[in-house]
Amino acid sequence: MVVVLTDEHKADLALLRELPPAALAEFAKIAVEFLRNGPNPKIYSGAAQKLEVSPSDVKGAVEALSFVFAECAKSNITELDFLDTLLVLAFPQEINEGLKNMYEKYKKEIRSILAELSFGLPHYDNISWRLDVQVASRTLNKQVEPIFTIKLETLEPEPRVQYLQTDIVNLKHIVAELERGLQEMKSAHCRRIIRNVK
Amino acid sequence: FESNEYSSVDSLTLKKAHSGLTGFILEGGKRKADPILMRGVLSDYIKNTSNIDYFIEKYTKVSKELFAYLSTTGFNFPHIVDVNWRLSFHMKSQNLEKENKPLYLVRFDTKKPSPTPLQNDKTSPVEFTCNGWELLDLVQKLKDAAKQFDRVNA
Repeated sequence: MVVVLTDEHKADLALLRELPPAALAEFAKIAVEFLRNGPNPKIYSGAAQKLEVSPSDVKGAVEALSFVFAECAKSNITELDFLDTLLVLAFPQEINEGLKNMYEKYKKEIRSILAELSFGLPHYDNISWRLDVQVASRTLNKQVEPIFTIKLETLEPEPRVQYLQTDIVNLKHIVAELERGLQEMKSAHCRRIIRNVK
Repeated sequence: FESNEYSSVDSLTLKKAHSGLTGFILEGGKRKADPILMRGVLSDYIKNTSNIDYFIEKYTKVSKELFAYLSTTGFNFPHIVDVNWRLSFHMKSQNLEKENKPLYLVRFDTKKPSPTPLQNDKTSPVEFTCNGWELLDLVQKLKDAAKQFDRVNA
């Protein structure tokens, strides 16, 4: 699949046509920075001075380039499709190659920035356990009760630590149940779905 | 205590007697005292043997239940009683397409120790997501814990 570029995008990106490769790499870096942190007018005016164009042209080019990168990373399109996307701009071959390399370089990072935008469910981080035997308490002396204390660390996305406890019977039940869950992923039904939804 | 049976007795004395008796029962429960010990202590203070017999008879009947009740009274971390899992396939989200990853959602149901055995005081369940490798890690650690217990027990 190919990302569709509007006329506005094409006009904004026309600025990139004349650039040497080093400046192109700079522009790509500024575009990714724009995706991460938002616009940075100082950098735009600096670049505008060097290239002898107006800052608003630079701003338009950066925003259009970051749109191209973001849409392509979002759909995780291949290099070929990326080049097809750029075909419509009628850039010279070296510019296309340069942009393709930049895309490959930043794709993972852009995808992780986009992932931060949507909500995340609490995600498992670590679990540790300890086995204690409760010997006595205020209300009852002379007890023998083994207790497993469990420390569960999750990312929600801030790290969170919870302390839980359980006894041996419940623990065995939990282990058996979760093993059944793991088995489920290896089942034919699951494999079929994973294979066919690529 | 407002009924006619007790009207002849001064209410303050009545309250003291009640709290004294309750305290005595709880102390006996705490030390898991058998009825013979209780009878020995009581006979130092009460001369009426038929009353003592009545009390000891009642105590023997409820002592098992009393010990069980006292063992659960106290403070604890939430106690896991059940686990629920769900396997889903994460395809895409609003901002990111083509994710295509299997995702487990695991939930531990917990229970806090309650003041009365009949009250069902469930704390909020503990939920989290994980991928296959993380679930495997979790299961292996817990399996190891259970194995260690069996080893100690053997």
